[in-house]
Amino acid sequence: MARSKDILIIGAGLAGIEASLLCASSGRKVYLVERESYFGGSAIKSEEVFPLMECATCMLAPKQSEVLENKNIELLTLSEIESVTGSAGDFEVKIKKKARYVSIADCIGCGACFDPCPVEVDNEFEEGLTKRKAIYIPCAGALPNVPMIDMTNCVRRSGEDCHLCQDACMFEAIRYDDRDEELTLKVGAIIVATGFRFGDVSRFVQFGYGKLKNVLHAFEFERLRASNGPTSGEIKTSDGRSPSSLALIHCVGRKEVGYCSQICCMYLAKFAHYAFDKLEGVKIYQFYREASIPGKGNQHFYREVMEKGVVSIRSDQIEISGGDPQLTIRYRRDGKEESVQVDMVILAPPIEPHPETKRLAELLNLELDEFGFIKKNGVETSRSGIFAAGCATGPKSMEEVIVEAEAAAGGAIFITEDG
Amino acid sequence: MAEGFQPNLVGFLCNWCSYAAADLAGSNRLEVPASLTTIRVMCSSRVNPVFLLAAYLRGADGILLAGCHPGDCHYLTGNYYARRRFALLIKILETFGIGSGRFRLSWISASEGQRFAQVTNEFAQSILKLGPSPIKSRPFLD
Repeated sequence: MARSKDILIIGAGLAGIEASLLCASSGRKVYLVERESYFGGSAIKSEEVFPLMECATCMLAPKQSEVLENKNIELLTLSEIESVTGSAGDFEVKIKKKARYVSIADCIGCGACFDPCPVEVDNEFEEGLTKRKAIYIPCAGALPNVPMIDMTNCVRRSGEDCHLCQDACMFEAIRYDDRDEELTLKVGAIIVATGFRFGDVSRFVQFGYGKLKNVLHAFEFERLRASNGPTSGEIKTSDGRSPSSLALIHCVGRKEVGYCSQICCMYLAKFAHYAFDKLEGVKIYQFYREASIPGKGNQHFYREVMEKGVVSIRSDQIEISGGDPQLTIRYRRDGKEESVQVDMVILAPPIEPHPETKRLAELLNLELDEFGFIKKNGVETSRSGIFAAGCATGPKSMEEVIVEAEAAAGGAIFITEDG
Repeated sequence: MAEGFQPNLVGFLCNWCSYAAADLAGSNRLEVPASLTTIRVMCSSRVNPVFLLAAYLRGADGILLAGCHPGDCHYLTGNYYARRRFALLIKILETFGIGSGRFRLSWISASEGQRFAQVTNEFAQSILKLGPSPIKSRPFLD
């Protein structure tokens, strides 16, 4: 049987995008599968990236449009892997492509359909800081710039004959009769790039996350600073004030998960940089045990930010209370109990494997390590012909993700080479 | 100010930041001046000052050049070159009687759709106040 030279990439985040561009540039047909309606993964939530504080969109948007324009790359959004059979060089993959209910070919992304929609639910992309309609794009600038209808929340699901969005659409792009499709692909190699998610921090009750106002996790703060986020980039407390003091809490849940998430020290330094930039005269405290600043460019940035006046407190037994309006942080330093009052607390949650990684590992028969990340041998996983890249294999910085993605792409190109 | 004057605006936008910001302004449904003609260039330093002079001679009332923020240039230093080059051009514009107010250099990153709309609208307003460019009404230049 003829071996396929095509490559399947699962997950269209930074790693998936990078790998697909490289595979496509060597002439391979690439299927880039993404379960969300948009692509770009966790990276597109960021405003700026360390250590040079470059604008994240400036780095990602051109890559994303390259993916959309590249004829060798077929981006399958709202798609999930159903089954994989065969072996290296000859995989058969079944993919379930869920209905978007909006035609990608006809929609021009004008957004006229949002206003008339009567449904309002929390926007998951903005960490629930804003509301969205049942027909929506997660944030301005999300690509592809085509909304989807979330049928679990749409009033049509309960049998109501609502067609307000269809009426508003001037291009007849709304298709209520859209159905889930099943696709079968033949590919020679697979790259798994399913990324990470932040662990749930409400289980660490001492920090009060979920109970106290203005205790945020990293992505919530990131979205507050994002120009296309809920506050157009203004850092505000839940009642709309500019915070005059912030606390950054390192290593939340590190002991419990049993590993260092590697990037938190750096992104917390980045958050301090955001705050100094946006809030005049802000007081910043950081609570840490050990600082992990690997990499060539990072030390310089970290020191620069710290010198702007971050108060570093090496402490443990942190407990957060109050919140009306100021939060009180009690902690132990050198055996003594101390406390400070702040307006906002930002927690650095542990980086955990995406739940999809576990499901896929079972489907693809891949070995996981003790923490649930994909086990690798060089660039390959425990199964020949299947590669892994990005945070699916462990926490890492964007720089490392790109390197790993390119290595995985190299491996995939190599094994699908003729002869 | 001339009756019903609609300023002719030209925007040279860098591919990596400002052009993406224009895109974002569009998907945010922000209003930008309708008479703005955007030209995508790979870098703000790609723009030869002669392009600008040619545009003024052909009827542009105002020209906006937008690139990545200092330090964020995709080619590392392109925008610094642009900044130096156009600091000189402004003097030439004064000498020619076009006026330095008809040129604006701005740094707009890809996530700043809002800023793109604000900069272009402000610029359109200031050109509206300045009126039509004097250079396009001079017959000997045709």
